[in-house]
Amino acid sequence: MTFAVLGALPASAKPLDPATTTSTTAGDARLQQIKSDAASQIANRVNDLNQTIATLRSTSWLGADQSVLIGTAQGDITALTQLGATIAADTTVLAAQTHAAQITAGYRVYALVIPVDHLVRAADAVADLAVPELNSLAVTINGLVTPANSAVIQPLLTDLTTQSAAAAHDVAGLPVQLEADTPAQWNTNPGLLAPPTTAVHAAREAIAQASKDAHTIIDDLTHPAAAGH
Amino acid sequence: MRRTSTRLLITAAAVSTVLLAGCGGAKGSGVATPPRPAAATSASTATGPSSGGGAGTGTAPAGTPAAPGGAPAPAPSGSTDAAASASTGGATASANTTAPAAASRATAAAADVDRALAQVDDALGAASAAQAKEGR
Repeated sequence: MTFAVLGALPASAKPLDPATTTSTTAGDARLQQIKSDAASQIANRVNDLNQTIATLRSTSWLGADQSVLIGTAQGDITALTQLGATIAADTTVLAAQTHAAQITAGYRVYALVIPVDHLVRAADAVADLAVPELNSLAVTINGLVTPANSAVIQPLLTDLTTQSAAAAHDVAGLPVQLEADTPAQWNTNPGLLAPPTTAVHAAREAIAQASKDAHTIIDDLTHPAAAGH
Repeated sequence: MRRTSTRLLITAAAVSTVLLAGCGGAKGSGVATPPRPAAATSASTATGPSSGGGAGTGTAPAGTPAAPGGAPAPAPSGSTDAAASASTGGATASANTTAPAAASRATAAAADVDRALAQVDDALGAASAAQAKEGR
């Protein structure tokens, strides 16, 4: 029966080459795997970007930075979704691999975009929350300095204002700089965020020291006997 | 309270003057003197609630006659002490009512600074966590 069938094939028909069949099957499997991985990577990024957008929306102190950061994140979601559709439609492994590589290199969602969002949140929290509060606190405390407590409080108050100014200086201009960073810049310099991250950490330490000064002053004002005057 | 103390002091001084005029003045040539200006000044500058309780009750010497020979009657030291006490107590009370309010504001502001610091820490942590996902 088999022979009869084969014998019935037209002269131009060739029997299937087992090697070719195996290669095609493996290629299809590889293509599907690339598509599956890409879909998963894109879904993760879109999900995390949406969560970050929610965080940005609930961050009250961002000012104009809020719309800038949300706009970037939403643009990335749109582009990544389109990239996912492109990859899903790819018919060759090479095309799928090329497009899939863009998920990371073209967007740097985890290495750049989301970290920038949070570094700007941190920088703005320093500049627009902590520093104004510290400056207000310094004015209040200054009104409580007396000849009796000056020796203890004045040096702390001076340090508080110095630390506040240092923190403000550390993050000055940082949000605009961070928002201008691109994936291409990161691809060239993976340490792109190191300096601004260090700056925000330095500002954070200055705020922490100023806070410590403030608490020491307040303790001294409310429990002067314990402070020795 | 301050007004009451002052009024009592003034009243006590007036009584003292009247009594002295009626007693010592009649007996000797000495002239009763009014309370020391310092006492009046102290009383008038005292602020805030005073412990000056002494106010008024310390005017005991009101009836003290002028010393024979015209020596001036002793100043109503009770009034002076009371006034001084009122002055000191008043100043202290004033400082004590101002400082706690300002310290309270300072405490609230320091708490706001700490909350801002927590926001900074939260954001830095989120940035670091995102970077750890790179490559996934």
